[in-house]
Amino acid sequence: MVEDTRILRLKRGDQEALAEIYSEYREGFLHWITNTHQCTRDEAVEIFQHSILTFYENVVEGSFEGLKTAGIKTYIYSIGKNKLLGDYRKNMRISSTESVDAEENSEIVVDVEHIKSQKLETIKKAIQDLGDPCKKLLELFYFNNLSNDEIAEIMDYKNGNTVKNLKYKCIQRIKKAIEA
Amino acid sequence: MEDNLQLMDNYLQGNLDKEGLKSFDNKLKQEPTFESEFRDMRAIQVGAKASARLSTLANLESLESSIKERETIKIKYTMKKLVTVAASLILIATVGYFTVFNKTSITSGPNIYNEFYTSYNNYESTTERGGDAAVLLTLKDKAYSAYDSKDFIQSAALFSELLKTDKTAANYFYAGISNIEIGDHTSATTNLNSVTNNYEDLIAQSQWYLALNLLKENSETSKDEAMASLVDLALGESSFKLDAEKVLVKMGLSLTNDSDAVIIVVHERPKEDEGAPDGREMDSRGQRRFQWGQVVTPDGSRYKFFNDNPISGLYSGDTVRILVLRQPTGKKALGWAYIL
Repeated sequence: MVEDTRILRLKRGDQEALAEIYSEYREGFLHWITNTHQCTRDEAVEIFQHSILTFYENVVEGSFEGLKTAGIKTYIYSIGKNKLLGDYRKNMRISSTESVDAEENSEIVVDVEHIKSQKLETIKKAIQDLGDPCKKLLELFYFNNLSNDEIAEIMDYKNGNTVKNLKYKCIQRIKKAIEA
Repeated sequence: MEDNLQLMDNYLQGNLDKEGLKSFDNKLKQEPTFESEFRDMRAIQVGAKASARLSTLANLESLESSIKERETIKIKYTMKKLVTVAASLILIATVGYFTVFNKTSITSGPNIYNEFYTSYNNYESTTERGGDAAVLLTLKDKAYSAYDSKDFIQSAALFSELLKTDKTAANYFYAGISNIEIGDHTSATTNLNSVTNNYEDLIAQSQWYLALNLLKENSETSKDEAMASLVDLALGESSFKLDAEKVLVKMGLSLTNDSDAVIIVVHERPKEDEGAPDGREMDSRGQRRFQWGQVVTPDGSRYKFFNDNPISGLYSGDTVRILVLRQPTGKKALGWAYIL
């Protein structure tokens, strides 16, 4: 099976690929969910956005790989359905906390829950305030899990070493914001 | 410092092997400064991921806004006085459809009803039956249970009772369907009108069943009212769009090109001073809210129009854009205008 090029583009953080997928499946999804699950159009849009975001995260994390034969549409629809079921069980919310699977093999776990929310907010704000290229670089590195070389190619830098140096400077600036 | 950063990044990206992980853990335990730095790095990683989610959601919301804006423009121009390119595209598609079939013979309302009416499955509520649980069923449970069992005489009676205290779109809707099933078309019209007059849910479903119910009644007035709902559905995006188009064709209606017209006379029912539903309070009388009148086109043809969704601020003398639904019966100027 030929992999949808949009999946490859998503892995590289291409937001246009996500917009294409959003536009392609939006109307059908809204139509389906409003007719089969009796929710309002606004609720349906919220569920669809959640489904697209979750789909994107799963593509980036690689968990879509095993299910890609089902197709993007089926995958997004199943996320939406699960989200609805979650809503009905009143367990729904778009999680803003982070899974700690990166530490599963480690003896020492720096639990995300222990990162004070105020500190997290400061960091998020600092990253947003820094803007590009820092924001994009850090997101590609930490969210999309891309290597310095891959980021260099996407952001048109000379090589991975340039990215590494820039990343270091960006992190120093965020640390200053934390300490301020 | 940079080496530490590289090490931490390798850890956070899962690039360390078993030995590397062990060494990393030891370093964390033995070097408080490194441990503190790592906590910061971990927080930055989480922050960067959260930032990426925020950025992505913002992009999706921006995209959604632009899609909604395009939809609003389409609706706006469908409801008001100018035709946009987007609306024209809809018209071209619709005109094409109706033109192809405009020689189809006319089918009577009751026959259309018989051909298109199908029972509507209950998606609203499920009830457990049997055993002691049956004793504990609420009035709502009983109503939906009777509906699920296709005991529509019972469900119509129970919904009628339920609606005295529990006025929801779903309860009105399923009451209306129960009424249709037992041939109580007057009550069905009242209940389905209550949905379209007061709620945002189940509108397309109510319009569809209302139209079929009115066609079953088979009077001239009910046919006009049915047509208004069907045109609304045919120009909309609900799951009833295609069926509504087919029914209009069965009614022998062909759609002409859009054109300008001037409002000659306009009425609205119920009038505002008669307590017309305005969204501020519940109106459960089930009186259909609509607007009707007459328009004249530049070539002097006069058509009556009938709007399911009254256009506020529409007065005699206003210029509007219309579609004309016409029956190929040969009668001069026989047709209905649909104001865009």
